[in-house]
This record gives sequence, structure tokens and C-alpha cells, in this order.
Amino acid sequence: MFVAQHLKMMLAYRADFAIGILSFAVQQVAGIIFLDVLVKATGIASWTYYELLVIYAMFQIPRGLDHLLTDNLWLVGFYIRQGMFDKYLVRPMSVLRHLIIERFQLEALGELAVGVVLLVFALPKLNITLSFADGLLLLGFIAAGAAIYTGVKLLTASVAFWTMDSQAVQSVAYEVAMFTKNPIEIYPKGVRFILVYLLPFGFTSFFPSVFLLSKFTDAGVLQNGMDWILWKTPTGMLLQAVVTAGVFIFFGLCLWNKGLSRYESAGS
Amino acid sequence: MKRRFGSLFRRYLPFTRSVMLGALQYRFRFLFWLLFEFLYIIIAYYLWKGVYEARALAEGATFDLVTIGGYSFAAMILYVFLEKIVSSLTALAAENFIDDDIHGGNIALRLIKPIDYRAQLFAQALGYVTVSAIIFASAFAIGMLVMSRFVALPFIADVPSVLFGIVSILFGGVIFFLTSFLFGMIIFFTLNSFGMWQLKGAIERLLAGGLIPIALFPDWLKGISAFLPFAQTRYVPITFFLGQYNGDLGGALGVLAIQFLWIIIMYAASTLAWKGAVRRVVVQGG
Repeated sequence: MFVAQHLKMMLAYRADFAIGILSFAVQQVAGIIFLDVLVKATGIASWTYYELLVIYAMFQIPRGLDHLLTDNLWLVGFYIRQGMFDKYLVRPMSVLRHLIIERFQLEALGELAVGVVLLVFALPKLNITLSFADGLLLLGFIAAGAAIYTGVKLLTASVAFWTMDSQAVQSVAYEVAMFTKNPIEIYPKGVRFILVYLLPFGFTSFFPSVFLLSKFTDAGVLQNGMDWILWKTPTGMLLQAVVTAGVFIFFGLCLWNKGLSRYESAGS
Repeated sequence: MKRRFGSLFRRYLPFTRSVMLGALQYRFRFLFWLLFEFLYIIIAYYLWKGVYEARALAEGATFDLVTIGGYSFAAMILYVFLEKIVSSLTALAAENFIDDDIHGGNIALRLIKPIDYRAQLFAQALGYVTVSAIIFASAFAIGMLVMSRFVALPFIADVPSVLFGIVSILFGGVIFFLTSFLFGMIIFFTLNSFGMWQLKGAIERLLAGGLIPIALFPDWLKGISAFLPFAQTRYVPITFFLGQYNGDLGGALGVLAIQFLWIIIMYAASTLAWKGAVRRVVVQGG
């Protein structure tokens, strides 16, 4: 009887997991149907269909990587409200590290898989082969992109120390990343600025794609996509990406620590 | 007859009211959610602009004349807004309440009580929609009017179309509710809540024309959509407000009749599932 109950629970968990993946798959299919039906023939701005798939793929990979590792950052507010946060304070490990390590979100592998599959599919169609150096740069972009996601999440999660609920702020910031599913040339100047300097998700998908697809000589991209980039070369872009990621993680950590000490001193 | 309606009203109004009051407490959440949705509209605007510009270039046509699946750019933007407005008006979801009842452990009681569980859920869903619709529908309507200053949105629906559209929204809401209730009963049987709910939401959104108008679907997807009730909840009412049935009384009535047919189908299906759930509770002893 007890065993049956336990089995049922385990099955439910796994089924839930499978269904979660299914619903994610539906969303991906929807996005690809959109591209397929509407854009296959013409592309958008200066990007062809397969190039758009590359942007989409590069959108998924850093995002998935960050999702995989730091998903617990979403729940800070929840933990605080439920009184479950204090357990982190008691452990000898740094609170942040403990919080992050605790949760390894397998579902994010789905996002990663989609991104990798799309990339592997689209690049050959564009007759692009990557040299070893290219591959290293790509990995650098992916790492920087994931770090940017983490940095923004850290910054917005810290709000929970003051308002006990970071869900809303985090969701909005995260949602802004959705802009970068598409080439940022299609957006007006103000939005592009935001995507490079304020919520720099542009570095996660667009700029790596510019690099991958060698769009440096593309007039449209140079004018309306790269306009906020300081060094318009691959290594220059990567440098700016890394610096930006570093800045956001730094400020994220500052705010986090400030909030944490405030929380601790409030007599938990 | 009148007395019966009066007592019906009195019996279920408290459910509506309590949910409304509960929902009002979440108004800040709603506001953020609203911000969310507006971000989506901005992305949609620029994305469609990019798509239409690319088409114009490829076809050598002027931007304003390009149509995709019969939709001009302006019509597509109007569609985006209408979709948001209509979906906020028809979102009579029962799943949340059923889910709460399941996890609260009183689902069995609810199913056996002499009060009509489905009617109670309907009253609760109405309460929720009233609050959320006031916030969202009006916000999007205002946004739509603001947008019309920049883009010549084709407000070509004539008066009969608007009236039919309102009826269609009512029908759509009922279909949405019954589908949601049926789903809730299925969740009860499988005890598989969160994932299923997300999956249903994702499918529903896609097939109801939440991402792109159904007219633009590839044929195989159009076929799937025709077999399921989802398109009847959002897409069909939207088409009225787009003016697709202007002067087409036969077409309009036909579409409304199909919605009504779906109401009957979903009513029957949900009743079956409901009876099954009640039977299970009785057999298992709660």
C-alpha cells in the first residue's frame, strides 16, 4: 500500500517531467512553424531563414546553460516567504554557492539540445565550417552569454531581500531576453541600446550569430545591429561581452551581499 | 421559473464574489503580468514589421499592400491586440480551482456535495475573469487605440459583426470553461497537475491562434485545429471583430452555430468525465 503510493508519486514526478518537456517541445514547434511558414522564403531584415535558425539556436544555448545551473535563483523570494531560506545561512558554504548548487535543472537540457541541434542543422546549410579558433570564440560567447543571464538573474533575485518577492521583476527582465530571439536590427534604436547596455541579452544570441555568420561586412547589420558595439571585430565583440558579463555579475554579487547582510541582520 | 433563477443566482454568487475579492489582492501581480504582455506586443510589432518588409522586398510591392494569408500588416497588428483582448475575456479557467481542491484534499467532498460542482466552478471562473478582464482587456483596448494613431488599424467590423462578435465571445468563454473543466476532471483521474496544465496551455495557445492567425497555419495544422475546441474560444470571436463576416449573415450564423455545437459537445464530454469522477470517489470512499 505504502509502496504503491510511493511508486505512484515517482511515476507522477517522471510523468510530470515528461509532460513538461512535451509542452516545451510544443512551444519550440510553434516558434519553428512561425519561421517556416512566414519567413522561409524571404528571411527578415538581412537574415535568411537558416541564419535566423542560427540566431534562434544561439538564443537557446546560453539560456539553457544558465537555466541548467542557476535555476534556484528564481526561488529566492519563495524560500524567504516560506521561511525556508534560513537553512542556507546555517551551512558553512557560501549562501549563494549552496543555493545554486542545490538545483540542477535537467529540463534545461531540452533547451540546450534544441539549440545545439538547430546549430548543427543550420550551419552546414550555410556552408559554414568552424576552425578551432572559431570554436573557441564560440564557446567564449556562450559562456559570456550564460554569465549575462546569471548576472541579470542575480541582480533581480536580490530584490527579494527587500520586497520578499522577486518573481515579478525577474520575470520581466527575463522576458526582455525574448527580444533577442530575433535579429536586433528590427528594433528601434532605444530597444537596441537596452539590449546591449541595460539588459545586455544582445550578447547572448545576436552578436555570436554575427560572428558565426561573418556578418561584419553586412551594411544593414553594421548600421542597425552593431551600432552599440565598441570594437567591431570578433575578438572585440567577445571582449565587450565578457566585460559586460563581468560587470553584471559583479553588481549582482554586490547587491546580493548587501541584501543578504540586511536579511541576516533583520534577526532571522 | 423566475424564483428558480433567483435562488440559483443567490447560491453561486458568493463563489464569484469571493474569487473576485481574492483576485483583487493580486492586482500588483496583474500589473507586472500586463507589462509582460506589452513586451510581447512590442516584439510582435517589430517582428511582423520585419516579416512584412521582407515580403515587400521579395515581391517588389509596397509595404502597405503586402498581405500574408489575407492579412495586411495593419490587420495583423489589429489581430495581435484583438487576440489579447478576446483571450482575456474568454479565459474562464477551472483548472486552478480544481487543482487547489485536489491539493487541498477536498476534491472528493466537492464532487459529492449536492451543490453543482461545475456550476460552482463556473461562478468562480467568472469571478476571476471579471477582475482580470477589467485590467487586461481595457489595458489592451487602450493600447490598441494608441497604436491606431501610428498604424491605420482596419476597424472595419460593422455593427452586426460587433454584436455577433460579443455573442461569439460569450460562446467562446463557455467552451473554454467546459474544456477547462473536462481537463480538470482528467487531472483528477491522472493526478498529474502542473505539467498537464502547462502542456494544455501551450497547445491551447498555439491552436487558438495565439501566436499566428489560424489562416496562416500550414494545412495539416489547420486540420488538427478544426478537430479541437481551442480555435472556437479565441480565434472565432476575433474573426468577427476583424470584419470577416461583414454583410455575410449566413457565414456569421453558421460560425456561431458551430460554436454552439461545440458547447453541446463539451458539455456532454465534461458531464461524462464528471460522472466518472464522482463514481470513483464513491467507490473509493473518498
